[in-house]
Amino acid sequence: MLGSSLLPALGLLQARAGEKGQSVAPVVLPAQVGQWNMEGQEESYGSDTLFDYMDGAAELYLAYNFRSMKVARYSKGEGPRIVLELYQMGSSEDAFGIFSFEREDQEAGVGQGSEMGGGILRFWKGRYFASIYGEADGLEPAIVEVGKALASRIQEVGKPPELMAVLPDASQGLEPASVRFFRNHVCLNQRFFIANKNILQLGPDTGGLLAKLSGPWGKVHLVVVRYPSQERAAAAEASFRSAYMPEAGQQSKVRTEDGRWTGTSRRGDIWIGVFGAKSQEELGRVLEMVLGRLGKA
Amino acid sequence: MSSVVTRRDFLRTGGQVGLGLALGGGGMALGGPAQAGARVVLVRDKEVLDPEGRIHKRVLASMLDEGVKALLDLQDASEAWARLIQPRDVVGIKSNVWHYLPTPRELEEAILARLRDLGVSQGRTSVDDRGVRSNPVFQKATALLNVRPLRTHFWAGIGGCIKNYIMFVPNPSAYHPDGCADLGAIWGEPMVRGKTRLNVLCALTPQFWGRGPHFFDRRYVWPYCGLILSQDPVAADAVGARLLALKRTQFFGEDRPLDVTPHHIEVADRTHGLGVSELSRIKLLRVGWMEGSLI
Repeated sequence: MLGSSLLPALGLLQARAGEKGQSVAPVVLPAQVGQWNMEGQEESYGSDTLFDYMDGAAELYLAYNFRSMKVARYSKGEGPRIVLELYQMGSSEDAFGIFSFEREDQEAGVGQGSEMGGGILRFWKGRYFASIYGEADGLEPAIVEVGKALASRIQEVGKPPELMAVLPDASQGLEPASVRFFRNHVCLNQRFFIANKNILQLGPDTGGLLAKLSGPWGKVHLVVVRYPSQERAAAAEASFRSAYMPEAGQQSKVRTEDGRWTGTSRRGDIWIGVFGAKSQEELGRVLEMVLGRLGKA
Repeated sequence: MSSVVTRRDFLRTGGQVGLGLALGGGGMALGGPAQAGARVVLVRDKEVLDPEGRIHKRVLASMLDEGVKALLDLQDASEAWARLIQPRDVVGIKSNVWHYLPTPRELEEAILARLRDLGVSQGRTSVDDRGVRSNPVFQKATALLNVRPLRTHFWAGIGGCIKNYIMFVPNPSAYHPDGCADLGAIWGEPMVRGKTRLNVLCALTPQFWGRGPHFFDRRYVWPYCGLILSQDPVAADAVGARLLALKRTQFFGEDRPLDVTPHHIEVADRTHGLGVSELSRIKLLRVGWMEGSLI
């Protein structure tokens, strides 16, 4: 059985870091977890070398303000290894974002949010995102122990996006596992295609949530975006209306080609879009439900 | 924003939202004539993998020979290989070293054995991936053999024959915009232009879905026991993409679209003239075991 017999902490120096712009002391990776020992030295990568380490997904991490990462491999002397990857992102929102983007499995009880599936443990804590996987099947219990050991060394506790507060709760139809945090239209499109151009004027300084809601209105997609200013939000709103619902005029809703309804609203720096409601009335209900929660964000 | 394509455009046409090309559907010229099209061979043998997933070298080498014979419509494997490679050629075998699903060493060795049989000396052959630009054999290569596994790819939709040449350019990330749409342009680079004699998509254990930092998840590979061969990299990839799409539908019970569509295949055809992407213009020749072939 794996215990938490980690080598003495080599200085758990992590600051209780704040968010963007504040420095954070590096997390010291465990040298040993139970019978699993780190092989050699850990590797480090930055944004300029990330492509050297991963083929394909580096762009995704850069989209979530990737800062740096460490890789360590653990073995019991022989046999398959466990590979630990720890990513420092720009903020806890980004760490949550990269976690949420690919979430599809059951919660594993590690860090501030996690999942385990296909031999891969993914979790986020503070501004860190971790991915830990085994080189063979059957290592899941050990992988979770390594994950817990790592999570215990991350002193920082982060906040999920404040915008989460505007989402209805599960009793109101929210599918919690469907919630994704995104920063740019490429990531949004990969989960819910809106347009090939950036008609919502998203960028590194915006943050948005995508979620599915089920209820009397059918199954709708909710998109909520917070902009740095009211002006930016207003410009994005105008851009969206022009490109997506030009026939709507001053209306904020339109019946789309599938017979369902799409509508938008804006309050200050927050833009809301609801896609796929069964009727005008149900569209209005969903929008009102979200608008009613805006003060909580 | 006159060129904006929105979700509504797909709703209007009843198409799959976000999927810009027909690789996920449409018919293939299954054994029938493909007009001004391309030939692709699917060869499968269930004995190529043992229950533990280990590769039987001899079976794999035989599959390769059968595939080349069918592709060139010849009865003799030696004659077929001789149509592809001459003894005087300098041959670069562009492999793929991706840790999770590399080009199998057994496949590389089978090709090298065939080159030796043809009389190509050892010093005139090389297998490489990330070092091709500085590899002396590749620098003076007169012929290239393009050999890589078939898999989904986070940023390009699929990793196939077209994408396998990205290491021939000094700045691979320059080809990342728009889902790696312009990968086909790489094939016009002097180091590779006109040199590719054969493309082999290794579909022994293809990967049809991905997730995580490395976009690899063991749940989403399966023992397909196949090779896809073509002299047209676009056609090979189009067939490969179709196979992965069908497997996703079978596995998930729905047509689950990729995060990024493999539209670089269609762009390679229509913009770069590299080959044929329309499945209806591809003649697919099947060889060997076809149970569960999906295509």
